Amino acid sequence: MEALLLYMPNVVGAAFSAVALFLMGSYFLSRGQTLKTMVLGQATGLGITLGFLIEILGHGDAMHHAWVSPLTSIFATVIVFALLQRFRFGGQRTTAMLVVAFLFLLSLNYIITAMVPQLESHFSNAFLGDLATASGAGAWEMVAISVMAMIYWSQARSALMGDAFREFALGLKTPLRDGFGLLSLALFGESIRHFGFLFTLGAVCIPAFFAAQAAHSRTQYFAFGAGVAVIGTLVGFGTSLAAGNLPTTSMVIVCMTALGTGVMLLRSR
Amino acid sequence: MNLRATNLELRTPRGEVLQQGVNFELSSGEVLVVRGENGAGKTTLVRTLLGMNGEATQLDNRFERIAYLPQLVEKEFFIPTSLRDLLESLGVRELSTRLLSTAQWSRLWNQASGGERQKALLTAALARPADLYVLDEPFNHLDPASKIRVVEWMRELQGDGAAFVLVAHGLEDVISGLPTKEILLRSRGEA
Repeated sequence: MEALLLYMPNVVGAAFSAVALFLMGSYFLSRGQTLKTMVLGQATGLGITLGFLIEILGHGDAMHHAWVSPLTSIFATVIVFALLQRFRFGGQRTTAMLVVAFLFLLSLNYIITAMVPQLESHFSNAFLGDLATASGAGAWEMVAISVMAMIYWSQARSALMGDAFREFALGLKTPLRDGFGLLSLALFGESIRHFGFLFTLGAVCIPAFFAAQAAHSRTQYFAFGAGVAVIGTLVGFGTSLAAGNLPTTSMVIVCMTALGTGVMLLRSR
Repeated sequence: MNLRATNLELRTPRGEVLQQGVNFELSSGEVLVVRGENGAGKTTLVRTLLGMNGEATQLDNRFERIAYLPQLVEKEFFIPTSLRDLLESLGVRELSTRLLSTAQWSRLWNQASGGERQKALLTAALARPADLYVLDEPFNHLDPASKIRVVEWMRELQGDGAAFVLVAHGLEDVISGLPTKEILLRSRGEA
């Protein structure tokens, strides 16, 4: 209990982020862009590493200018997003291209980290993440961004679903709405920076997948997804803190998956 | 209001030329039927009309409000969503029961039959106030009675001055009551 109170900002930040990332993920997964989301996550991670590299080269330590890595992560994500929009091959070739892009970015990230040993902990944080060691200020920032994303989502939900349906089911190219694009960029980028790639991608995909499998209506889908996101995060985080030596993000991923599987099996009976 | 194509060239998004020298004119209250073999460029013509393949200088379109029915793609939607909710997402506020009953509107897209999906999309297109309706294969998956109801609906809209571009195979029996113009796209040749 004491540990939970001590880590309250991180617990609240992670829970809010999980729900907002689930909502955002619902949109991208509905558009058939699961792999693209993973590639963009890697691009964000590479941007964060480059930001720290610039700080180290300039000042000898990686925390001198905390604004550099957010800027480079946004820059890297936007550049890769534009490139992915530019190169479309259609069908299975697009899938293969996205896997190639994912592997390339991950390898590039690893090479840069290997060349500058001071970056190793930052690379590890940006990839695996640790909900417990994220800063309190970062956690509250995530709460603020998540609340804005949820408010936007609740107002534009129907229109966003219409866009996703046109794009995926009807094959009509529908551009990303500016407001949603900006909020997604902030939510996604800052979540990877504070909580790591694993937690962020987990929250984007896991609740959405199990909710889609278990729900029989749109309302049920959002209720199940939000439930899996919040409960999975709280139980995973709590278990990790109680055990003391279990990694937080991995526990959250395992708990979300276990909870989602349980909901899916119960609903299929 | 009218639509005029003069020596229109049809290209795929990758730039492959499918047709050259396509000519037609369509005014308010008229129906243009586009026929042709598979791969002749019927859907490309529709996409060109709608500006989805870039700007076509040989096309003069004076219709302001355009409603579009794309060819039905048999894909599932990630989020379990009823036909009613999907229609609302597509911006249609009033639910018409001309083609689907109230109970059918409650069905999930992923569980609906091809005919029910087609009727939902047709409703989304025809319930929208427009001057030009562009319908790609509108009668696919429909039973004969439903085809007749669609034609009756089109006739009402036509009476109000709406024009139609229909892409279809074997429409002769269904649209016999509608005065139509026709263009035939031949494979890789002149229209």
